Amino acid sequence: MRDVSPDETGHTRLDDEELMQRLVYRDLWAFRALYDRYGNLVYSAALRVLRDPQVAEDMVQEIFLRIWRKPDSYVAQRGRFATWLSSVTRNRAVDEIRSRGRRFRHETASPEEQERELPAPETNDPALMAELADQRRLILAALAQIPAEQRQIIELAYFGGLTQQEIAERLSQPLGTVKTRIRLGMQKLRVALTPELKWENR
Amino acid sequence: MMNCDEAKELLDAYALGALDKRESEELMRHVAGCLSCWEELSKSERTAGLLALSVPIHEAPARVRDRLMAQAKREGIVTHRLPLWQRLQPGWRSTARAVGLAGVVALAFAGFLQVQMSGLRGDKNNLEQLLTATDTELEQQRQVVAVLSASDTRKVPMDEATIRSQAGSVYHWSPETDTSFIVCHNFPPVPAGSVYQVWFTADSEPAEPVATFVPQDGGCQIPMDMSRLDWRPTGIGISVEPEGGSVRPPSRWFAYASFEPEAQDGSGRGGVGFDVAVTAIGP
Repeated sequence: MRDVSPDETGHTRLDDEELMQRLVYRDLWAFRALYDRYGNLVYSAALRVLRDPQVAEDMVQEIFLRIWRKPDSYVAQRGRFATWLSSVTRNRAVDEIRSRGRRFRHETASPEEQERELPAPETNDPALMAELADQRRLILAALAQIPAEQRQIIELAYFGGLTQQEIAERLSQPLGTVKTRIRLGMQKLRVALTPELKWENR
Repeated sequence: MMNCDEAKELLDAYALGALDKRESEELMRHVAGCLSCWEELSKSERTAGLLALSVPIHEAPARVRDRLMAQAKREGIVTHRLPLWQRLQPGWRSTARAVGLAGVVALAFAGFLQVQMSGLRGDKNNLEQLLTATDTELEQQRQVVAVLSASDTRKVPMDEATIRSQAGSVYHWSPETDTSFIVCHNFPPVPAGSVYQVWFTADSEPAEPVATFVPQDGGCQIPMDMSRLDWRPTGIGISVEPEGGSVRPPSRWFAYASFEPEAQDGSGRGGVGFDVAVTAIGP
């Protein structure tokens, strides 16, 4: 493939949904434009769960090839592309650590580690990246509003791939406490994220 | 059987992936029949889904992109291994003209049967070809047969006027089912780094790219789903574009045919008149 930038072919003007439609016609440049937009996000979501750069790289390859092979797996009505893509990555990564067994599961990162801002990687779409960065800050702010013991359990479940029972064992807490903390934490999170959820639904 | 109160206790944990298999299945049995829990679940899932956007952003190594694009490219270009049309190819144009559509359908089936039978006879190559045909190819073949079987299928030849090659292509279109495919033959090989690209055109719309292909032994067969277009094309064209295809309408066509207005009434054999304005591929 000649190294022509997606900009030259006009692909950067297309939104995510339009790029996805082009994949149906095997438009390799649309695929490359999507990767340039979201490759880092997918890699980061995979890395967050898998904690192993090599395995995360393989996961990026797998997730994007899946999109290339089945572009119609994304249904626009169900939400934004970025949210769908990062959820799909997280789900697949959790399947992976489950299938590899518990030795691959790690504690979640400390809040400090999560808050640490990394320099924004170069991208062909600074406006989109700024928007995602804004949204990330809002979600982190919402997470920061809920009590640490609830947040820890939510993260162990979502990013650590642990069940309620496993979390109870890991933290030496009664199962009932874990269940309650999940419910209370998610309730608060839902309230704090209401503006984001509305946006997600538009 | 779980009731709503019990189910609602578990929805958040389910959205986070924190239920074990048995609990998940039990919950899903309830949710499947309970609209109120289903709505609650979708709220929980959307909340959980946003968490995935909270991850710290790291830069993926450049090799990931290179590897991925190389693999996508290997898988992506539409190349065809076509037992059906390859067998029909010799003399196809004149035959098609002579026998008309019904004959083409009959021939297509005859060709198909021939492949099947030679496979049964132990023609190892054909048998292997059939066995290794990918799902995509089988699906494409199914689509082609569906178009050919539709009662209203029209043919729009795109050949005749090539200046420097014997290239020809015929567009088969069933307006009723909104499906179509294009076959080509004797297409010259594209220059390195290029592909042929098929476009639908209309006076009021910019040309819409629908497929790219690299002919195999000069032939191609490309099914197209027209229902994706929200406008009715009035023409079809093929251009030569850089690998991966282009979104910019081409300045010159390799082959082009317009569907004349009177073609829409379905009268006459094949039903479609055509203009042909074909330019040969230039260096």
